[in-house]
Amino acid sequence: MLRVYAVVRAGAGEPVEKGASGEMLRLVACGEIAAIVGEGADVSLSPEALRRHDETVRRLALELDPLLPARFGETAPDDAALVRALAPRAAELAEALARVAGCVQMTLRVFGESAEPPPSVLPEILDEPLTGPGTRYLLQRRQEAERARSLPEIAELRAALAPLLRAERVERHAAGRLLATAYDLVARGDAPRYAELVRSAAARADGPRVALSGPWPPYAFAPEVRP
Amino acid sequence: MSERLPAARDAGELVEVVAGADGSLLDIVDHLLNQGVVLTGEVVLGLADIDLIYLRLSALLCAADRILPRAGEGGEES
Repeated sequence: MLRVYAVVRAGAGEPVEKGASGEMLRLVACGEIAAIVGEGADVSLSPEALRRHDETVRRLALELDPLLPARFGETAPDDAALVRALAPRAAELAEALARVAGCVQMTLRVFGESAEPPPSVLPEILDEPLTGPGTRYLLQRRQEAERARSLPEIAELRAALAPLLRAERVERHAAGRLLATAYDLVARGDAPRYAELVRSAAARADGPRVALSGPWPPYAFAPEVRP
Repeated sequence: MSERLPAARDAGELVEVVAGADGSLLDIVDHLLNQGVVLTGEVVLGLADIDLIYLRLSALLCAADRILPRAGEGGEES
């Protein structure tokens, strides 16, 4: 059984680091990408297993760039089966590797009470008599998508961070005090500046509490799995 | 190709980066079980038998055989 740790570009060279169970790691190539795998590793789920896996991926990310972490528990019975799983997604994984090259992920969580979304120009457009039902539908869909990605509770901080962002992914949460999580992709060298901006905002904020962690390998920037 | 990062091979930097990030269980669970490259495509709903603190992931997308006790293993999977 092969345990998959990450995806890198083909030709990256054999990893020097060892796996979460101390096993040797190697590459399984598929076109222009390759998976980093360990042989016969235990993938039982526990907090300690997660921490060991995360530490392994972190060390690999320091060794090889670009790198996309695999989800915990990804396994394949042998090389051939892994290549069959990789092949249909090779192009999008190569594209994602290009996107995360030289970058790290910062994870920003926002706690507190939800704020009203910022006013939108869309209602005015929707009132235009010439706006047809198809256009109205698409504009409403766009507005809903923009609201889902917005963080009005920390708009000032997001504006300050914007110049550092290579990509972002925001998830708002429906219930609980965790309002939203922003996964931000920043250049490796910009991570300290990003953290400083968050710390400065947190020190003076009387609004929602923010919790920053990172730098992480770019866990949140793997291509989505389509049904 | 993915490039080696020679500077990062320095042991001091390695330790600093590994220890410097906030390794809270929430972050690790979120990143490792909710993010990352999925290759198998065969995922089913399962529930983790661990204390997840506060977590949005009331339903985790994971391979069940890695989360639930296997048949014949009376004890808890951990």
